[in-house]
Amino acid sequence: MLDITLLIQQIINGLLLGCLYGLMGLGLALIFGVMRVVNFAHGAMIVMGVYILSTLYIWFNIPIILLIPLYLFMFFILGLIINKCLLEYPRLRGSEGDTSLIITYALSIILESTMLSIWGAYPFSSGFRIEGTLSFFGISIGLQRVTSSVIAIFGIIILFLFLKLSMIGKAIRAVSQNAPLAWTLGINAHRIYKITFGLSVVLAAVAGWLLAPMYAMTPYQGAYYLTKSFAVVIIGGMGNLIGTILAALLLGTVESLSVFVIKGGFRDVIGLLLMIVILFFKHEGLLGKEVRV
Amino acid sequence: MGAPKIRNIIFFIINIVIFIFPILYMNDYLLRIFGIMAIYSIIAVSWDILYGFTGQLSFGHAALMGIGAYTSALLNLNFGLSVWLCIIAGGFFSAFIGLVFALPALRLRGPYFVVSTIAISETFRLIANNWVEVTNGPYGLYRFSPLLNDSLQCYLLCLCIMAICVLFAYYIIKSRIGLAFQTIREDEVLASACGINTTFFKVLAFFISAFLAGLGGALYAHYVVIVTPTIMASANSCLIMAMTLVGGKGTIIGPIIGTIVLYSLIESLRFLGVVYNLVITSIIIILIILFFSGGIAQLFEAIKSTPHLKINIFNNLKIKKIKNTH
Repeated sequence: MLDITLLIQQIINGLLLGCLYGLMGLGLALIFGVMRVVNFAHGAMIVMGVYILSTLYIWFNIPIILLIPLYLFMFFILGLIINKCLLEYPRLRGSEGDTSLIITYALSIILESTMLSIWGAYPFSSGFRIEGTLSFFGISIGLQRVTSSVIAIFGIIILFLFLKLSMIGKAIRAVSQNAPLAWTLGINAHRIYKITFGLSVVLAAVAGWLLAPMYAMTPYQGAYYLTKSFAVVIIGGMGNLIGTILAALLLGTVESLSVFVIKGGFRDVIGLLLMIVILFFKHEGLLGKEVRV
Repeated sequence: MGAPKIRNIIFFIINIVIFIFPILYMNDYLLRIFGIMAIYSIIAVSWDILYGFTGQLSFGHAALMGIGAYTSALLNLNFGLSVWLCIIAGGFFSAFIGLVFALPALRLRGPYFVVSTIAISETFRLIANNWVEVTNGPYGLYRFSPLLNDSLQCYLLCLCIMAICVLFAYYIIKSRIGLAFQTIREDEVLASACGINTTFFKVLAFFISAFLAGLGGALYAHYVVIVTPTIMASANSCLIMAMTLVGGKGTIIGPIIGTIVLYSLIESLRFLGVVYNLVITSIIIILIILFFSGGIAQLFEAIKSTPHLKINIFNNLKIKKIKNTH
C-alpha cells in the first residue's frame, strides 16, 4: 500500500530535481542547436564548477557577492578558450562530424584527470549547505533542494529572456535555424559560436554549483551527469529548448518515483533505457522537429 | 585478393621483431606488458573495423570487451568450463550483444548514434556494478582459472591468438565484405544504390567487431585474473580509440603500431602517476585528430607517396576555405 503523502513528496522532489536536470541539459541543447557539436566534456565541466567554486570560497575566502560574477566570468572565458583551441580549427576545415566528438571526449578525460590530481578522489561537498526542511501537510522537503531549484528556474527564465529579447540572443537563434542565411544577413556566426559555447559552459558550471550541496562530488561523477544531460536532451529533442525542460521534469519525476519499484543502483539505468527507446522509435525526440542529421 | 604487398610484409616483420624483444630479455614484467599489448591490439583492430572501415563511430567498445570478460569469468567460476570454451563463449556472447549495438546504427546517424552507443555501454557498466548477486558488484570477479601458469607460454599464446585475429581481420577487410564496409563508410546512400545491402553489412561489421572485442576481453580477463566494472569505463573506450587513432584508422597495421606506441608510452610514464598518463593520452588524441587525422600510418604513406622523399604531411596544416555545410 503506497503512502499518498510519500508519493506526493517524491513527485515534488522529482520535479525539483528535474529543474536541475533542465539546467544541465540546456547547455548541451544550446550547443547542439547552434553549433551541431555534441559536447562530451559537459559532465566534467559540471563537476569542475563545483570544485572551482568551493576552492575559491574556502581557500581564497572571496566574499560571495564578488564570487558569483567572477565565477561566471571565469567559466565563460574557459568556454572561449576551449572553443578557440579545440573546436575552431576543425570547424574551419569543415570536418566537424566525428572530430569534435572525439576531441571533446578526450577533453573530458583531461579535465577529470586534472581534477583528480588537484583535489583527490575523496567525495567533496561544497561549503554552501542550507540546513532545514520545509514541512506542510505532512510532506517534508529539504530547504536546500528548494533553494537550488528556485535558482535553477531563475537561471532558465533569464536564459529564455536573453534568447528571446536581446540582440545577441536573436542572433543565436538565427544561426541555429539557418547558419548560411545568418551569415548573409551580416551576423558573424563565428562570434555567435564563441558566445554560445561560453554560455553553455557557464550553464554547466551553475548546474554543478546548485547540485553540489545535495550530492557529494567526485571527479569521476562527470560521466554520470553527462548521461543524465544526454538523456534529457535526447528525450526532449536535440536543439529544442522547451522540449529539454519538459523532458528534464519528466526524467526527474520518473527517477524519483522509481524508488518505490527498484533498488537504488539501477535508478540511473531508467534514464538511459528511456533514452535508448526514444532514440530508437522517434529519434528527433518527443517534441523535436525533424532535423537534418 | 592478391598476395600481400611488400610494405605489409615489412610491417609484419617489424611487429614480429618488436614482440620477440621481451622473449629475449625473459623478464616477467616485460612479458606481462607485451602480453597485454597483444590483447589490446586485438581490441583496437576490432574498433578499427567498426570505425576505420565501416565509419560507425562507437564510444562503447570497452563495454563489449567487458561483456566478453565477464561472460568468460562467470562461466569459468559457476560452471567450471575449461578456459578455452569460456573465451570462445565470451567472444560469441559479446558478438550477440554487438547486435544490440547495431540496432541503433540502422536507424540513427551522426551524434544520435554516438550518444546511443554511450547509453548502451553505460547501461552495461551500471548492470555490472549493481547486480551484486551475479557480478559481485564493484569488487569484481576473481579466483577463476588463469590462462596458463607459465608466463612465457602465456605470452606466446596471446601472441598466437593475436596473430590469428589480426590475419582474420586482414582477410575480412581484403575480401568483398571489406570492400562493402568501406563503401558504406564513404557514402551510405551510394552503397545502397550500388546494390550493397547496407543493413546486413552494418550488422555484420558490428558482429565481427564485437566478436573480436569479446575474445580480446575474455583473454584479458584470464590473463590478469580479475574483472571489475572499470573495464567498461569510458576511459577504457578512450584508450582503445586512442590506440587506433594514433596508429592510423582505416588500416589493419595501424592499430597494432598505435597500441605498441601508446601502451609503451603509458607504461613508461607510470612514474608520473596513473592520472597524468591519461592526460597525456588524451592530449595525444587531440593533437592527432587535429593535425594528423591519418595517424602514424599516414606518415608512412606520405613518405612513400612523395618524390625525393619530401614529407608533405604539412599539407594537412593548411586551413582550407570555410565550407558552409548545410
